[in-house]
Amino acid sequence: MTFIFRVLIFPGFTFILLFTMFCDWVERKIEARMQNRIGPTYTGPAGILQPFADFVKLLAKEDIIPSNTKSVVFRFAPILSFSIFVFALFFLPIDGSNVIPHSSFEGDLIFVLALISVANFFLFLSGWSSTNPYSAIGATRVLTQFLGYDIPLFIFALTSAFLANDLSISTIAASQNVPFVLLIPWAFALFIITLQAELEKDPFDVPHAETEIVAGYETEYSGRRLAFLKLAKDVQIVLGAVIVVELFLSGPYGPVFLGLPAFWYTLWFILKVLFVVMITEYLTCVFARLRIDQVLVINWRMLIPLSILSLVATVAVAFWLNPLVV
Amino acid sequence: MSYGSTIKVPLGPQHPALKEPGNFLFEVDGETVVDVKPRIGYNHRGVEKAFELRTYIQNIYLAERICGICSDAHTTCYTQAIEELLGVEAPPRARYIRVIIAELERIQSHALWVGIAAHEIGFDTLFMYVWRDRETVLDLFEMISGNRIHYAMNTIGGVRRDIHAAMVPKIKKGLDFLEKRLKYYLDVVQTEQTILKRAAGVGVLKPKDAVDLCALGPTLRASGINNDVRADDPYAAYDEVPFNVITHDGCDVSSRMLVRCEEMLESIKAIGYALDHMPEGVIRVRVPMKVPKGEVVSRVEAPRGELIHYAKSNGTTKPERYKVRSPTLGNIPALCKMLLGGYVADIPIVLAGIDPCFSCMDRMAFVDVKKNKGWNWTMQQLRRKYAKK
Repeated sequence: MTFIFRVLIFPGFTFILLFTMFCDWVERKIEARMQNRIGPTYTGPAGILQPFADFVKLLAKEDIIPSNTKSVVFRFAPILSFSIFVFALFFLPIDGSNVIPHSSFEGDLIFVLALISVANFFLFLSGWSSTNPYSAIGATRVLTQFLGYDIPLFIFALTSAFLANDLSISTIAASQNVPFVLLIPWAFALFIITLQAELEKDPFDVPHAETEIVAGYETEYSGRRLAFLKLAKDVQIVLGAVIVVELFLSGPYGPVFLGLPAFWYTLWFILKVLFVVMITEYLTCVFARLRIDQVLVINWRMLIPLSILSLVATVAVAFWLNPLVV
Repeated sequence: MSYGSTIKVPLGPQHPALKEPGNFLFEVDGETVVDVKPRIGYNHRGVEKAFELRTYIQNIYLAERICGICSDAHTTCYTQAIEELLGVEAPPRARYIRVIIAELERIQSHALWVGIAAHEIGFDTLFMYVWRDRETVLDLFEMISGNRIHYAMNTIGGVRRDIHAAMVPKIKKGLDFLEKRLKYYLDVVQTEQTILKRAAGVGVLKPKDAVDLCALGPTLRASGINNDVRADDPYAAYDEVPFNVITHDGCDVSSRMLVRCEEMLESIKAIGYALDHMPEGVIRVRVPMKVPKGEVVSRVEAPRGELIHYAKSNGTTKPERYKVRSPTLGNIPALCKMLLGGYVADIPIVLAGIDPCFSCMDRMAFVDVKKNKGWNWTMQQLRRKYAKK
């Protein structure tokens, strides 16, 4: 019974879904305020229900499938991409322990990062199967970008794992008496930049550069499938922020006051994720979009050498930092 | 260069990068553009024919509606042409008011462009900021003329509304605010690395090509050629109002941004001078309805470049022939040159670089490129050819 409750309601599916929509609203509000706009205001108090309203609206819209698509892939790619992102979130401690109890194992960091790659690959397939030139260009851009940025993302993630001396996410999070952001701030900063590319946000949002390739891989989608594609993107953003929180901001753990620890852990978790979302939104607002070749140059010439350098630096200082790690 | 492995990528007439219908067929070799075929004419409105069917007074309002953004440039050009045919001259105060309105319009048009350019390279924050500050100019227009876009200030023989003494401090206050903001944006487009990465060295138009292909306005001035109708062939009160012609020799999109930003600052100075030195007196002279026989060409520096109107009158209340050449049309050959050899991802920003206004420029003529001849068709001939059988 607890198992079903945990998976379906809290901190599982329902919580993740609601939290994703809440984060989407926060993002839109921050972006709007930074651009001197108001942002959503109409649905619910301060427009907080707007992401939900958008989702419901898209669900109700006509679902058009172009006649010459490779239809099985086109139909299932958005759903699969969405469900894999949610599944990856199940391995991350949210209220102090994983969604599925005792599912954490040595090496689940690698597993989660691999799931992200697979889900990204489904986003690529969704564009590739659309047989629309704009979708095809957008899809190849997704592939080009995430193939490049997965490598530094892995290496930066391993920096934290090295410091915690463990490859399981919950152990890494639990071993941060002092959050790793204070011990290895360089890895944190670079991880956020890499994540920006992984999440396709400015200055790296080339896969759906609307003035160049319309909506990129989403171009041919409509109705339910578009709703799930959009939701998959939102979950991906939350997932990215959660991974930053787990690896660098000591996960959901923090001071516990009166009452259930689970309550306080969830609260810390939400606040930390919102903090990361704020940073990524800030970066999105202050940059213009780079060109795909410039994005790749930054990746191969800067981030990969820097990621190796950061790993080396961490190994070098690990001796002095180790007493601070549980 | 072989075209064996190229693919054809169409852009437009419906595309998020183009706010107006225009079509470009690109031959793309990998990521590089090797050939461009522009196709214009999606928004032909029959403006020139409409001119021939209306009286000279009605035509002022028609000229205003050729373009939404540079509406004042078109009416200035039109009224100037008709005034020359009539042999009258606008009173000095009217000429100063024309300068003030024209320069305010230049500011709002260039500000609009900076916002669109920022949007094309995915910098929506700058887009929102610039457009917010552009509202200042639109509010000033509303105060002066009652309208934000179609000001309807010009009339044959002067202007329709005066700029009262009470308005002057408000205009100056608005311009002071704008000057501060514009200096900030000028700094942003010069120093922000992601903008420079997308704009510097992109869409290069060499000075020689610019002259050969008859580029106009800010596009030409960004290639280092000093050419401005306001300075070369002064109209309104431009012979008395001092201003600098801004040129940059970067020949790229970045230079076009700089030229436009600095022109806005020049416009603010020119407006300040014009407000201080506005002569007293009447703002319009009465003119007869009938215009004597003759033909005339009138030139105005619109925000997008040199605007040419041609009028031929036959002594009645309606023109016999009217021709409008809007600056975008003049920039199309230069645009094709800029796009050649560039990246596909740079197409939107290069396209936006000339500040295209496709809807203003579409005129109709039948041309057979292979036989090298052009002709006109009457309505009956058209109907015979294209009407449904």
